[in-house]
Amino acid sequence: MFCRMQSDGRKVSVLGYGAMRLPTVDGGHANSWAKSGYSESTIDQEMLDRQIRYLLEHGVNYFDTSPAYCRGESERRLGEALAKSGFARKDYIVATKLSNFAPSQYPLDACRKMFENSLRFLRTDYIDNYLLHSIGNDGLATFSKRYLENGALDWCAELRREKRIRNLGFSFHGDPKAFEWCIEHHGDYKWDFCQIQMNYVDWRHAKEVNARNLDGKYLYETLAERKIPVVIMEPLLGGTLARYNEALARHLVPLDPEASLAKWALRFCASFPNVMTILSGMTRTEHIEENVATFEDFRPCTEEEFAALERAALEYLKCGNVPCTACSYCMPCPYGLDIPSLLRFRNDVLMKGGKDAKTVLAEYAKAVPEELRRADHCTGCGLCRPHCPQQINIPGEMAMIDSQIDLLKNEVARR
Amino acid sequence: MKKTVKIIVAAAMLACVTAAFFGFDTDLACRIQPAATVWFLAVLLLTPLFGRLFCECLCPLGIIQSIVNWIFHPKTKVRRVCTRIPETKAQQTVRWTVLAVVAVLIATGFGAVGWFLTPYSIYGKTLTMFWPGVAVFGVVVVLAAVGKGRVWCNWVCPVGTLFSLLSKKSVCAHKIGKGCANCRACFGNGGKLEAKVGDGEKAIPLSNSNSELQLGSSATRREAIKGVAVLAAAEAVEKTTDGGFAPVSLPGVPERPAPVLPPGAVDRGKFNVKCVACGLCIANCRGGCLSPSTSLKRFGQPEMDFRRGYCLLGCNYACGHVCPTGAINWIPRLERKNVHMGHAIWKKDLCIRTDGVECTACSRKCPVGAIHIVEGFPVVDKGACIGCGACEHVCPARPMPAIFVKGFDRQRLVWPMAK
Repeated sequence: MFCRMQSDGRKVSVLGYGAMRLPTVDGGHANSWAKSGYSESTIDQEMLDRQIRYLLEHGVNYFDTSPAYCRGESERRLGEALAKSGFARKDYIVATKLSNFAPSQYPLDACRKMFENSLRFLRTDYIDNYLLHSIGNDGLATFSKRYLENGALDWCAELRREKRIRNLGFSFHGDPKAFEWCIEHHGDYKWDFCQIQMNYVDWRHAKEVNARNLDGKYLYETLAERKIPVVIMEPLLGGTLARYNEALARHLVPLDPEASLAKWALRFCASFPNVMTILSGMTRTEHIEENVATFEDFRPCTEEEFAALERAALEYLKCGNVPCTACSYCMPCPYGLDIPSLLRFRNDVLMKGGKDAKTVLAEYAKAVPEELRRADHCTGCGLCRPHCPQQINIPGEMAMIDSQIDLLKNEVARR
Repeated sequence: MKKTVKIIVAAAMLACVTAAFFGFDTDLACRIQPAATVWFLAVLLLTPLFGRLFCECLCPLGIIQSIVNWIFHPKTKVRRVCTRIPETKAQQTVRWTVLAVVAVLIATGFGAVGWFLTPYSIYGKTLTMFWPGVAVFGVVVVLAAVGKGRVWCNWVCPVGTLFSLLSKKSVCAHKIGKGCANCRACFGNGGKLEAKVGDGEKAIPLSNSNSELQLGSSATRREAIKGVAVLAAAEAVEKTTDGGFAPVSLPGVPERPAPVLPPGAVDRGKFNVKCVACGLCIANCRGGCLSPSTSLKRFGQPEMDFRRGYCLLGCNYACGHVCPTGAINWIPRLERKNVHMGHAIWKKDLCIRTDGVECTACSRKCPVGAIHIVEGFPVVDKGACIGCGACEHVCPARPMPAIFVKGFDRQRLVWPMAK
């Protein structure tokens, strides 16, 4: 397994496991629609145990979770799987986060409680890597309320001194000002690592996806300059860069016809020396096997390959997709909408074209089986907007999807 | 030969009618609206000549009874109806009473109840409303199986009674010879064949005024309500974790001052008399919003239920197009947005905005831009509102939508200015 060093000198596998899309008993991932309905899709603990053991046996030792993931189930399930794996606590690195998104969680006492819960769920007495979760979420004012005014950041630094956490970092999505603030204060807080979104599309073209995003290149270089190790999230854009897409395949396949698209995306990220680890939310065992194989036999990208990836990225942008990674931070929508499925339908079917109205409507019914969870039930309340790490205008997209669907329905009705 | 033709016609008819209910291209099977009158006249004119042809091979109930008879009484030579022989006093009394009652019901505005005893209405309900239809349908079939011949046609069906009048002097009717002793041998094994094969007067019922095929949607069946919960105030539960799905529930059906009729129904009174509640429009509704009424007076007649859909602006009046009785007019010359079926009424107490929750669902959805948000509250422009129900369909308030459509007594048709 291809490894790099953490700031404290520990060896970290470059492939990390993201516990945001845990497997469920009905074969989906924890945030997806379940065959049994939308109610509860139970996480498949046995499968998870097997997967975690497989990962540890193959040298993957970085596990990233959060109190908010999988409806709050992720930490407990991961903790159980790690404990059952038969590996000692020192053999793996656990990363979790201070996910105090709701105003009721701003006070320091609530933060302390969240941390204690994390220790309990993860069955440990220290956390290796602790992160301020998505610092750019909803602007600098919110950042300040979450971490500065309540003294949470200073408290975290103290935890690090007490060795209850070994490394302190932050994950960044959203408002660039929050990122800049943290970088400016690197001298005070000594960030041990930083978690950013990076992939070959975002590398240079984040702004084309969404005007308020920062290019991966800028983020990476800013951090590399200060020697802050980088943890990467969304290397595959929630699987979008791993699914077959003609735009991508046309540029990449000729260089290495056997390699999967996922392998390309992971190799891209790992080719940068300051990248410490790359998180992948691997729901299915075959994803794990494939990604482990990628890093057992890792070879950095050549100049020629970088150029091909850049061409693929440009081509990909022409598809006009919304950059939804199905992270489900927007969920649950209070009105019951299935936002990730709707956005995926928008990208994969609605805007792709080439299908007649009846087929598109049938696909719509398949994508979101319950009528009450479809786009027309969006009220435009906007509660989801601040939660989206990709800053997608969700109510706007919902209105767009619905008006397109209405056009199609009318087209069919007119016949 | 004659018999073979009849069997072929009957089989084709039954197949067409049934297929129409299951999404078969109904354009082919039942492009009926313009043809209905022709159909009706043809049947009317042919009956005195050839007897109750309609009952014999055009009525789905008649055909099914023949099949049942054939299964249960294979040896009987006279399967359809033994016509003239055994008409008893009791039978006559029952038939004519039923016809009279039906006529009175229709005349007094209980059309839907009256029409319920006509064959196409029964068959349609069997496929659209299921239970009420199946109940009557079951009676028909059981009677046919237990008795010999078409008990329903001969004892109950008001259409059959009407046709029996017309076919009294039928030229081609199978007459029973003078010598018939009413031995009934023809009903059992190897009786004399002298009996009548086709039916003279008494045979089969005609559906009421015309041949309505109906389609049903599976509206009622698919209505099983999924998920139960109230979402009312959106911010009641603070979001602390990611993922998962809030529960959803169908809204209740608001108590409308008046039901919303399909576009083209125009006058409520006339509609109630003319509609035989066959369900063809319900099965063909493109927006998925027509559903059979459950109120006694309008039982089975179509009305709008916006929980599952709303009346589409782009629809070319599918309901009017298929309506066999002309209860719903087909008005393709009039743009859909010029037919006002009703208008939306907003209830402050039910609206989630009253609880301070941000919501613009109704005004976002309105296809004619008739709902404006003024100072945070929806205001309906009643001049523009056509009563399509889109707002009601998307309103998130539970258990009752805060905005709903009230149907007009007489629909407003806005004809374009003459040139």
